[in-house]
Amino acid sequence: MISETHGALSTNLRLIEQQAREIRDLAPCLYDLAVSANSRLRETLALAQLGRDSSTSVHTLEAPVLTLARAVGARAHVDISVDSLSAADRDLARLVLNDLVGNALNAGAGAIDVAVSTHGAQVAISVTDDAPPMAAGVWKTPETSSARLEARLRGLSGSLTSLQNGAGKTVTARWLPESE
Amino acid sequence: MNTVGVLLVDDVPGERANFEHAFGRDLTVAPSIDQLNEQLRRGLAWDLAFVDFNLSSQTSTGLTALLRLHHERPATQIVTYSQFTESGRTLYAAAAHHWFNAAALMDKTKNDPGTLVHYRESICSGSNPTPVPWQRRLQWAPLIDNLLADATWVRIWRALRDAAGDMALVAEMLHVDSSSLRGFKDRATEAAIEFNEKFHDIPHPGRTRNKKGILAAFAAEHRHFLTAPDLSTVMSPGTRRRR
Repeated sequence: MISETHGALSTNLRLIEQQAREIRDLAPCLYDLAVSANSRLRETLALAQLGRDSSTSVHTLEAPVLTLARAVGARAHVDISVDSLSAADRDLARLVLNDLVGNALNAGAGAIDVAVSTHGAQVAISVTDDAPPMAAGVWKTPETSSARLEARLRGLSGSLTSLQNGAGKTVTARWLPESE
Repeated sequence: MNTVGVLLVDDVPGERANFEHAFGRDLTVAPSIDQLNEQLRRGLAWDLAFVDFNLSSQTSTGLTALLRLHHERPATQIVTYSQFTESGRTLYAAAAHHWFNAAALMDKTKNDPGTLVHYRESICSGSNPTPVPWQRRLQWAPLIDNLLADATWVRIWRALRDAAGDMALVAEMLHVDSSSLRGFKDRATEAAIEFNEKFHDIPHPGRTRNKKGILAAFAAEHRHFLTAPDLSTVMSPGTRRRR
């Protein structure tokens, strides 16, 4: 029964996220909420696998990444070295992972490496993928997810950068977390 | 363009929203095997069928739907449709591809109307819209025959799950001599390792004596497929042979 309820919830939250994405420009908060809700449900899938007894563990952020990667058959490796994040920072991390991993997979990545770490006083999320290089004129142009995300990160003394390195590309989001 | 009839076999009502948006009146929905059988009796036919694994039934899964379509509507092209992070769904993908020659695979998380229409157009024009990494994995779909080399193996896999990999306990549960399970243990372990490697990116452990652990983990990870009520019927080549 729990499995069926989980399945039905999963369907509805996924549909809400899909529809919220279509009106993201008009209702960005709605999109953020939809991503958060859908990711949180996916995180519960990780509890048994990771031997965790709490969905507040940062390590459950791995599950939505694996779900996104598995959807297209891509390989995913997630390394989380942050011990804890506040509720607001965890929500931002969900949004960052959804955007960066989703963009990499939509660009045709077959393998992604995700790192959630600290960089000085900042939290840093890096996504490295093997997708073809980004087309010119897409990165951070108005109305793109990268532009929206950068604006949000700048408001938290952060940044969004992309580094093409041979066949791979690493996109890194950084921001100053809330003090616990 | 001619009308392309699309069938969705899925019990979850919410799932059909995107399909209705994408295909409108060309869509037929079968939430259960009974309803699929009724539609087949009425002579409905489709060019394309999206078939989910879990139909919330005690007696059947999407495997039965695949078998029915295989026999009754051989011209219908199949899209394996599921959420592939869930238990047993990679085995379902392999089974649909290898046993029923599914034309494509779609993860449920990617079922927005635009992608659904793209799938229909691609398949009808003879190309495969399955994401390339999945196409690579599905080259290894025949491994499912190594995991289920014999109809009796279904019972062993089921018992293995309950016995947490303990073969002596499995033998006791199945009322057989444990020496008769030795062939299963060796061959199934090799098959599980290879399937894990190709479909789940789990590195080959090298020479291992921990067959119990590997088999127990595999049985647990894929429990929904390996304990599917219709698996032993569907896996038989004789059942799948077209009359």
